[in-house]
Amino acid sequence: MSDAAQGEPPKHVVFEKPFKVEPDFENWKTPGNYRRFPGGDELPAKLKVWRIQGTGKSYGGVVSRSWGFSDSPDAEVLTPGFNSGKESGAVGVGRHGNFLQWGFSAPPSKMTEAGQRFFLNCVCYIHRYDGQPPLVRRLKSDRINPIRLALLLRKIKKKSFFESAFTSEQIEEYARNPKGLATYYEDSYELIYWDKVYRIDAELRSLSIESNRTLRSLEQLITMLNEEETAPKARLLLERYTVETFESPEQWQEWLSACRERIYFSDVGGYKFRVMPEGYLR
Amino acid sequence: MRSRWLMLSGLGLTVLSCSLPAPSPAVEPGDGEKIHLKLLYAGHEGSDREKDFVSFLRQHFDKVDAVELAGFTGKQADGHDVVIIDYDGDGFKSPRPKLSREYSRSTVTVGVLGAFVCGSLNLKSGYL
Repeated sequence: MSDAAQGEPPKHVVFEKPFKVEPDFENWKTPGNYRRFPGGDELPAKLKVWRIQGTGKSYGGVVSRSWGFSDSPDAEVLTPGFNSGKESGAVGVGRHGNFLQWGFSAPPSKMTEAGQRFFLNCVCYIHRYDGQPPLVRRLKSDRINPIRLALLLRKIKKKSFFESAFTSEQIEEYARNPKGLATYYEDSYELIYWDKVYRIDAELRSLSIESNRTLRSLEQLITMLNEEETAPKARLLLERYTVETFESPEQWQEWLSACRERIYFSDVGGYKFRVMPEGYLR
Repeated sequence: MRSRWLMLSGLGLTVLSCSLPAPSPAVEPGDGEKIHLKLLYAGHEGSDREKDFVSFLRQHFDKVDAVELAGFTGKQADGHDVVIIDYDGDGFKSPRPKLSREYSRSTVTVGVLGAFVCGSLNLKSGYL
């Protein structure tokens, strides 16, 4: 990562308290690496940034993948970092549970005033999460990953690189048509899940359920437990997408009613519906 | 189709509504006061970088202690409100503290080393 945060800071207490962060914005040329990632060809020629530090280097710090970063209630992006290796939007400063990762590299004497204030605020902000470890751990990659990887099929010759993403049949079939493989996943984006490789959920589709990550889908599956025809498939899918093991439809319904407001779905957390603890949300 | 990429590759797509967890109260200073937090800086003891961080932080916080990162297990965080994990030089070569999954002290991890620490705990903020 370079010396700069990317984009205007969001409205967030970490830019307000105890010190008001007042960035000086500049427009920097969009890095070439951004163009390689999905959506990169639509970015403007220049991007708004603000300097956190003044090392003058385009490297030294680190960003984390943005995809899936916010798909659980225990994590948040505080600012993307302007970087020369990953996608636009990759996380320069972000929080997961009781950890706040400051991806910039310089010590305070080399930070700008805005950078120093932001750093001090980060120290204060993370204290709010003392004693609150993460709810999920990174078990899988976000569902955009197979699309990103498909576009690399021609560039990376080593087949083993793709072994945990695609079947060997897919690698053969799409070797000369990576965009075709990307389109295959893109067209069924809401049904992507991971089981040894990235798959499109045919069972879910056969029940006319359009997404594997909405509360509505979960409700539909639990209702289908009551029908002899759909119950076996619904049971299989509830096992696939939850961490629960209830026996009867009544127990499933009871669980849903009790937890409805606290259920979230995380790709990164293993393509599962999970329940946050009571009182977790403000 | 292409404009969908930007939507999908933005800052996260959360389908179910998720707001932030209930925070513990922030400790804010009054006018001219230091911030009422006790910090522990775990880094390269005796280095210029450690001095840089610690002297800066001492201007703003009630108490700032420093320990050597090599050998930091999390236990040393007892009695402190926030830990800062940092090191000088090449983050790929710096010591890597081994923290347990039960470690829950509020912690700022810095730079490449910080991303490795997060990665070792399977956090989203890890180095990928």
